Amino acid sequence: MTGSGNAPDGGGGGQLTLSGGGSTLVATDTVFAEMAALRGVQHEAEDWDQRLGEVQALGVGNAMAWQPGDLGVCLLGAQMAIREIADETRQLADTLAEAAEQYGRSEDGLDMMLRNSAAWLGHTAGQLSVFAPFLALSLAVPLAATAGVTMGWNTLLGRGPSLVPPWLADWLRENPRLVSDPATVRLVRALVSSADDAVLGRLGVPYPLATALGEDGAGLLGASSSALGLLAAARAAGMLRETPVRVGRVGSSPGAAAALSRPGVPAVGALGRPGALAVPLRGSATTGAAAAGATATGRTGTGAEAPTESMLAPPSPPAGFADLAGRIPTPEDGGQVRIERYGDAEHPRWVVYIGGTVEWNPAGSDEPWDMTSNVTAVADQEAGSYRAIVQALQAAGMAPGDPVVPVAHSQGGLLANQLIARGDINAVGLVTFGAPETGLPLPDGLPAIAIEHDEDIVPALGQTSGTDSRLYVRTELFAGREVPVDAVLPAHQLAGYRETAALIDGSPEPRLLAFRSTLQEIVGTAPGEQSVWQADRVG
Amino acid sequence: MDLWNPNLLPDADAEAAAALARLRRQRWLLGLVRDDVESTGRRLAGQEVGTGWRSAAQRAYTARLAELSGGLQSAWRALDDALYAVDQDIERVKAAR
Repeated sequence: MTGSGNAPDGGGGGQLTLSGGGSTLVATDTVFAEMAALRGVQHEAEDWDQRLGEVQALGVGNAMAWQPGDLGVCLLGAQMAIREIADETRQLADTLAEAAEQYGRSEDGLDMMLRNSAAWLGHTAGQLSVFAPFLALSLAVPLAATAGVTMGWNTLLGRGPSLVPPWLADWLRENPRLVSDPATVRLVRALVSSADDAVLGRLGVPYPLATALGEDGAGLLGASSSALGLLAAARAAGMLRETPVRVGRVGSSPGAAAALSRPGVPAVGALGRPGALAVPLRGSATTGAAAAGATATGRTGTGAEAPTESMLAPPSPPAGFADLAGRIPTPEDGGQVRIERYGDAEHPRWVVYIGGTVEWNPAGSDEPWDMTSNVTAVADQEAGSYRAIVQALQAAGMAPGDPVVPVAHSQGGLLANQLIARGDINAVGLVTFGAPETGLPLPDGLPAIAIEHDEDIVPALGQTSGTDSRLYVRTELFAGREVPVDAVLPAHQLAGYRETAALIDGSPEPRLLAFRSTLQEIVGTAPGEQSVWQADRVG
Repeated sequence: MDLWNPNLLPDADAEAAAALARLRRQRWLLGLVRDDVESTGRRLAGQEVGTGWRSAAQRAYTARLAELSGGLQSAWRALDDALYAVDQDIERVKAAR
C-alpha cells in the first residue's frame, strides 16, 4: 500500500492516515480507532449474550406461564436488546472497514494508473531519447533528483553551486509549495518507478517486455539497479567513491563504557584495536575499522586528536514516538548514531538511533552520511554509514542476538532496513521517519512503523513493494499553514517529524498503541545507558 | 401425603436451598452483565468522533452511535428488571421456607 493523502473522512491538518501493516485498508487513525472500539463492543455484546444464555439455562420457568415482570420476560428483553447491539456494532464496523477498503483500492488504482502512465511515458521518452539528459540524471538516479533540488535550493539561499537554470530557480522561489506538495510527491513516486522503463526503452527493449522485467513486473530492474548503474558510472568518473570509515565515541552516560567489557563480547576499545566482531559483518566493514584503528574512546588511529567525550545523563526509557524522534542524533549532538542500552548486563536490550543525511554535496567530504552513502545504500551495497553503524554497535558491546529497536531518520531509515534484512541485528521493532521506501523484506511479525509526510519527497525516491508489511503512518505536515522557505526540503526535516511523532503519541489507533506497549515491554522502566558515536570517512 | 412424615421437611428445605442457590447464581451473573453493559454505555457516551471527519459522515456516524447508546440503555433497563425479578423470586422462596 503506498497511498497518501487524506482518508475518505479525513481532512488533513493533524489527521494521521494509516496503510499497510499486512492490511489492504487505508483510513485515518480515528477511523481505525472507531473500528476497533466497535469491534470491541460487538465482542462484548456477544459475550453478554452467551452469559445470559447461562442464566436462562439455570431455569426461568415455563414460558407459557410468564407474566410481565417475570425473570423470563425480562431476560428475553435483555437478550434481544443485546443481540441488536451486536448486530448494529458489527454493521457499523463493517461499513467503516468497507470504506477503508474502497479508499485503499482507489489509492492503489490511482497509483497504478500513475505508475503505468509514467512507465509508458518513460519507455517512450527513452526510445525517442527525449529528455535523455534529464532522464539519466533525475529519473534513473532517484536520489540525484534530491541532490539536484537541494543544490538548487542552496543556490537560492546563496549557499552553493546551482544545478538548475535561473528561470527555474526563480519559479521555485515564487512557488515554495511545489517541492513540498503531496501531488508532486505522488508524481515523483510514479516517475521514480518508471526510471527502469526509460532505461529499457533507451536500450530498445519492447514496452511489454520492459514492463515484465521492471519494478512493477519481475522486479529485476528498479531503484536499486538504477542506483547501481549510477554508482558504476560515477565511480568511473571519480565520484561517489566509498572509503573506510572510523568511529569514535563522543559522548556517554556513566556505565556505558562498562558495556565494552561485557563478558563474552570482544571489546574494541579495551585493546585499542578492533576485536573479533560481535555483530556479524559482511564485505568490507571490518577492513574499514581496521584501517582506521577505531577505538571506543577516541579517534586515534590516524593521528587525529581524540575528541573530548561529553558526559551524558542516563536516559529514561523512551515512552513513545516523540521520545524516539527526539533522540535521533543531529549534527548538534556531535555524532550520527546514539545507542541506548536497557535491561541488565545478562539481558541487554538496545535502542539505536540513526541520523539522516548530513552532507548532500555529491562531490564528497569526510562525512559518511553523504550522497555517496545514499546512492550506495539505494544500490543495496554496503555504504560507509552502514559500516559505521555496525562498528558503533560492536564497540558499544552489542552481541549477536541481542534485541534491538532501530529508530532512524531519512538515510538512517534505509540503513536500519538493511541492518534487519541482512540479519546483522536482531530487530524486535523498527521506526523510521521520512526514510526512502524500500522493498527490503522484514521478518514476519516484526512491528515496523514507517512515518512519512505527504509533502516529503524523500520516501517517494525509494523502491516500493506490493507485499510490504510495514505500517505506514502519513500526515500532511503543512496543512493549513505556510511552507517554510528557509529550509531544504522542509517536509523532510527532523523537526517536522518530531512534531508528527508527538501527534502519533496522542493517537488512539490500536496498532500505534500496541507498538508503544511493545516498546515499553522492551525497554522496561529503569534508566539505561547511552553513548553517541561519530563516524568519519578516512582515506 | 403424610404431613407428619419426618423425611418431608428436610427435602423441602433442600429444594428451597437449591432454588435459592440457583437464583443467587442467576443474580450474580445478571449483575455482572448489567455492570458491564453500564460500563460500555458510559464509555460509548463519552467517546468523541474525530473532528477531522467530514460533517455529513460525522453526523450520520454520531447518529448511529446515539442509537447504539439507546440500545445499551434498553439492555441495561431489561437487565435491571431481570435483577428485580430475581430478587422478588428470592424473597418468595425465603418467605416460603
